[in-house]
Amino acid sequence: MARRVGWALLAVGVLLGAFVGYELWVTSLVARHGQAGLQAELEERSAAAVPAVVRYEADTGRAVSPLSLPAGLPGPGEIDLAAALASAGLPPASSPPPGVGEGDLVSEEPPPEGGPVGRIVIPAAGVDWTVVEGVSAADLRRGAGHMPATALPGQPGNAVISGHRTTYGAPFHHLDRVAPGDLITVTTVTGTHAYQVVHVMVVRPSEVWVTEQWQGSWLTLTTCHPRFSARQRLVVVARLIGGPNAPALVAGAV
Amino acid sequence: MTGWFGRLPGPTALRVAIAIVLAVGLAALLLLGYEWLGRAFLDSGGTIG
Repeated sequence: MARRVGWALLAVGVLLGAFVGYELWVTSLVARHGQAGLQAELEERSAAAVPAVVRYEADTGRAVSPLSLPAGLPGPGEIDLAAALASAGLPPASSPPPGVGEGDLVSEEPPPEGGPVGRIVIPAAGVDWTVVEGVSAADLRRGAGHMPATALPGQPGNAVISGHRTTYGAPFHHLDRVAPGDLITVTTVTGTHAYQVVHVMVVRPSEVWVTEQWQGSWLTLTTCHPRFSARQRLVVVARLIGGPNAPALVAGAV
Repeated sequence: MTGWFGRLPGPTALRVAIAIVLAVGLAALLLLGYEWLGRAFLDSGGTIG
């Protein structure tokens, strides 16, 4: 009897060990493989893309963001953005292409689900990932995913990007290290867009208001919280402060 | 282990084939279980809604 109990405990231990190994290492290998494919697809898409130029008309039907900006946070006009991005190790924000007026936007068609959206870099959180279109389980195995039906990065509205915290390469493992004022860049086929973090908060998974489309241009990052638990969501909200569409959009985001 | 193998029907070649199919099926079930457990409790992907 004792021998059988011993074997059963041993089997449970092996299964639990295999579970930990699968979640931490096997899923990371899957994500690494997915990222390699996405990067190659993004290069192809960027080379083939012909961004369109459209006249920006502020959507006043949208709600204003309910989040108030933290006191003391420097505004977009008060930052030497080029120097701040360079000192953070981030790529420079793109300028509007020639022929694009101050009230114009460089826009793009969203990629199909599973296609590459762009590259997100957050030095404060050690993030440098290619973002996939879609937030299904299959999409998020390849990296952080852009929520369809939300704005694309650099475009008017609220671009929502979700990512794993502990499995599948854990793209947002250190998202809790981000603080208001930190800089983020997202490079899409329309150029490199720079964001400034304005809020870090913890919400319930059902709080869909964080994904609503607001006036101006925002980036919302979501991941599981606390680590090794799917009970809550850590949410980082950032506002657009630089990039090809900033001249038209920044005024609405402030 | 050899006891289980011995109880499988047919000649040795068929037993080996059955054992391989069973092992692959069990491994697939185990991975599905791990996947579900991970998504439900450990990390759902951080999505909202």
